[in-house]
Amino acid sequence: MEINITTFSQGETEELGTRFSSVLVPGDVVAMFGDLGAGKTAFVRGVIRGFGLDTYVSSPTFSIVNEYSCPDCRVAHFDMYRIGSEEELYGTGFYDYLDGNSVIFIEWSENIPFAIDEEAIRVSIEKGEGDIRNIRIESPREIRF
Amino acid sequence: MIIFSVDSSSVAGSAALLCDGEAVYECFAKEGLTHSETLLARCDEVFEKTGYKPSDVDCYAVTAGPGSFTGLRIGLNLVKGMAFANGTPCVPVSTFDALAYPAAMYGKDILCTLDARQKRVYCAAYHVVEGKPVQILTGQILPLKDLSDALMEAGICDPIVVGDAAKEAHEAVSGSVLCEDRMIDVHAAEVGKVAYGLYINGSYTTPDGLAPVYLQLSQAERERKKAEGILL
Repeated sequence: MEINITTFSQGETEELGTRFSSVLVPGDVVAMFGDLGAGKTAFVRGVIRGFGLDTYVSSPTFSIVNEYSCPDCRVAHFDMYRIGSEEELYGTGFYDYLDGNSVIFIEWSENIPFAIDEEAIRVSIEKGEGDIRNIRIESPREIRF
Repeated sequence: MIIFSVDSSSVAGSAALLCDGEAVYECFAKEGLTHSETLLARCDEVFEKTGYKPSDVDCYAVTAGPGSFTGLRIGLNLVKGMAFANGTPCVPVSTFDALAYPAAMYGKDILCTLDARQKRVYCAAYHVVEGKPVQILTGQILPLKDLSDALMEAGICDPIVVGDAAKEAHEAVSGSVLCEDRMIDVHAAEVGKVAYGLYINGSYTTPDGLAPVYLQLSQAERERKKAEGILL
């Protein structure tokens, strides 16, 4: 199924992330697509808040993965901007997070298409004019939020 | 001769103590990748139950890979730390060798498998010669659909399949036999037994000589890089 939503500010993108968090369960993989500054991190920030954790959320561009222990589950937030091969991906510990205990967000999923399976929920954020963002959520299972 | 062995190469984690190659005590649990919180406690339990002290240990053994990236680093670093205190010799043990060791009692060829995702297995295969596993097919990543042919080519016949991808590999290889549940996982006691054989043959290293054996590049990826002119 596919959901298309337009947001008009970063705050709205975050708000959408917060609402979206209600459909996620541990083991879910959310593959994110979108240019620099599209609002991928803002979306994840909203999700983390939705999971009941009020904390600073930044892009893991340099750390590659940030881990959040939310009250209800663990969230692993990846940025694959600098990852280009399966071996490099293995070296991030990525595969160890697929143990069903974490919700996983992957920014720059474009770089690791071989590791995104058909179970993943895909979130694509496209820049519109100004702060307008067109957000497409594709999910293999029925979701409602 | 006391060997203390540790495994955290997968979701299972264990520690064991062996005396002259025989397991005295093993603490094993399959609690997911929580080794950073649980492995040291298991080591403590082994020392407590057996009455030995770290200073009694003649050799440390640890699974060096392949396996979970995080898991391998935790196990190797823990053993390095313990062995460093007294400069105790260390034996890195292949995950495949540790899986094959207990399966040799069946007297059949052995196929060791680790899940490599995307319908692939990381595998190695063994003949059993005089009760001991001898590696015939070295560790490599293969698509499940190619497994049967690769084994046939290597002369591996009707193997018993062990390791965490055993069920999938068993289904892919006709004539194979699925191992009992215990042999799905690596056990520190088996790591210690393999290490004992290596140690008495003089094959050991210093604590700082321990190094992980990570996932290897798949053949396809290596060939692509070669084609692109990237030096490895």
